[in-house]
Amino acid sequence: MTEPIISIRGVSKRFGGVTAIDNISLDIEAGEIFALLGPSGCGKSTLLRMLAGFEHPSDGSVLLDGKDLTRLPPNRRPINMVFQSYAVFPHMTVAKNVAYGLEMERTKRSEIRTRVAQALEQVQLEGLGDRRPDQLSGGQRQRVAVARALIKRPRVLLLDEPLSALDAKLRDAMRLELVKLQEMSGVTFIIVTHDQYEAMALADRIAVLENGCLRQVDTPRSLYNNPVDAFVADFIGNVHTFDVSKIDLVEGRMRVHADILGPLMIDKPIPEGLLPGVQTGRGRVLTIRPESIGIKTGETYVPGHLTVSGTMGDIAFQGQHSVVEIRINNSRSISAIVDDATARELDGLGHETTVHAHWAVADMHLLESSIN
Amino acid sequence: MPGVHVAQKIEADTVRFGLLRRVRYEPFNYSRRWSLRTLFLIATVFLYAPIVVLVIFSFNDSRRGGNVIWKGFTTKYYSKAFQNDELMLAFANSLTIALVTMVLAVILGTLTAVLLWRFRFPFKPLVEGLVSLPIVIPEICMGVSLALFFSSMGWMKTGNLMWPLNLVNITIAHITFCFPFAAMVIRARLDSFNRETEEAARDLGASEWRVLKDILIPHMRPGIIAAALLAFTLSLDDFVITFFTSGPNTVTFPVKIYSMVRFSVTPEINAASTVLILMTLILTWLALRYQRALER
Ligand SMILES: Nc1ncnc2c1ncn2[C@@H]1O[C@H](COP(=O)(O)OP(=O)(O)O)[C@@H](O)[C@H]1O
Ligand SMILES: [Mg+2]
Repeated sequence: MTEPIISIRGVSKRFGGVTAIDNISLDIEAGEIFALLGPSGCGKSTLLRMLAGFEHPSDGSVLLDGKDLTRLPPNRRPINMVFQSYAVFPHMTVAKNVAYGLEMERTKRSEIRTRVAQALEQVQLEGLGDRRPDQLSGGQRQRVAVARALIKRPRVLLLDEPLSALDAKLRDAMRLELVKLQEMSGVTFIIVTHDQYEAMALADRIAVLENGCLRQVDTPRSLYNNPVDAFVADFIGNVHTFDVSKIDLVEGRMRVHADILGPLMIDKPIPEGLLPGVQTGRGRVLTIRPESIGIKTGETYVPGHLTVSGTMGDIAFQGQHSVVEIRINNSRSISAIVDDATARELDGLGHETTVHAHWAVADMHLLESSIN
Repeated sequence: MPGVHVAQKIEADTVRFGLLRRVRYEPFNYSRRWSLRTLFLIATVFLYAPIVVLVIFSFNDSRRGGNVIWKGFTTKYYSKAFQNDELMLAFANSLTIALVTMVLAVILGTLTAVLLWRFRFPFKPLVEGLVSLPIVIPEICMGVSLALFFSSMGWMKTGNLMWPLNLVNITIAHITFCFPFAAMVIRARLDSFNRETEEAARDLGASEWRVLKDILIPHMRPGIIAAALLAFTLSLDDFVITFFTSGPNTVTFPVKIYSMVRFSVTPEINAASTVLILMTLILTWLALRYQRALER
């Protein structure tokens, strides 16, 4: 195990009475793209700003290459940041913007010139060095911000919601470019985002935050397959949740009573502290992802599957696949993701036809619900 | 159907004679309403006609400036004004005071603006109110209170000092009433400052001083120029406060013109005023040009 490039140790941040970050410990490996993911207001930016040095932790410490930099001001950290507003200096040309960090280091003029040219080429802004920022598009301004930070050859590059201000087409292109830039430069990237797809597509590892607390850190695939609780499950992709009313142990196996599903034998690791006999299931849910749900029209039995009947709702066409809504009762409906052929078949049925949603019991997770 | 025919004819006639033309204008389409156009014209005439007349009659070959009869073109009142030593001294006094006031009011105003924008401290609203108080206090009260202040300090004698030290009282008074304007103008400019640009500069290795020099001051520059211009013109044409703080040996241009008018109105006054107008115009034009060059 190599030493982590950044080590966050028991860091908390309080603003007056508000706890923005609550005792987070986290290691970030050199050369990875690491994403901080969470809903708006969960403290992602605050954590990032503590790494940059704009905020100081109320508790805990931040280590870079094993050295404590908790008290170091931003201008003395080998860490650079791409701001959410890009923060391009409006009264300087593009080249001046990019050169600024090197000028602060008193780099030789000739070297500045060649490195600025390189940096502009790297972000595909060759020939725009004399432009003023107000003559650039949003995407170009972001490239200036990235070039300006990377030219310092930082140990770590921090990016706060780098794609959120761009339109959908540009966002996809820029996402690929960021990955390419990371590979070329080898710099560790820490990216803040509230967009799960962005995090999954970009990052090697993701930390999921909720209300200033760290929920889970793992690769996108592991987060998707093995979420620790219903909050993470719902944030990484979508899930349907079924409240558990009761759990009992029958011959060492769990029998879970969930609201509309009835009693089910679940072969999963038994949660700690669960005693034989009848248990209250409060605070736990069974989850299933829409993409694990199949739909059939007849009541044929599939081994290992459970079936829930309902009526056809709307079908939302999304190209490769379609999202089908099945109304189970007045207050509850579930959606399934099906391929185009199935969608066309179901489309012929019309509303109110009885259909059957089914999924493998093994695909369900027994998780703690996010209300803690 | 004669009824329909008549109705159509009436409608056609009313349209033709403009009786039915109830066109609704957009609220901002002022220029299309003749009433508003007239109002605009009248306002313009009342604003600028006196100035135009003043300039024209500075070239009038008449002994009395108040004379509205054109007696022929001459520039002799300009040379007369320039040969009037007292008038020239007053002019030099005014320019000196205005320049010093401009520089100091802008420095003080910038510092005040940054203080009010950047920091939180106890009684901040009170301080903010106190800073803008000189803007709303009647000038006559400012004049009287400053005169009382200077005489109780025994500073009224500074008027007998060597030039330009004799202008100290007036200059202090001018800075006092000019710097709140400067502070307000620069403070307003700071509202559009993106704090992240400051943080970005820090992030790239800039010290606090470099941030000030490279980021904050360039952003404030248009505000600083506007504030300087404002302070200069406010100081140059101030009468009330100057009148109360000047001594017999420290006469400024407006005060001098006032005393000349009381004596007799001659085209010399028109000429001197025209020079003043010209100077302010050139200064404004230079400032605007500078600002535009910066934006490019
Ligand atoms: N400078 C500050 N002063 C007071 N509260 C703050 C400050 N910065 C952030 N907060 C609070 O901390 C919480 C987390 O904010 P932030 O880190 O910006 O969230 P995110 O970036 O995840 O949307 C919010 O409740 C916010 O109101
Ligand atoms: Mg944020």
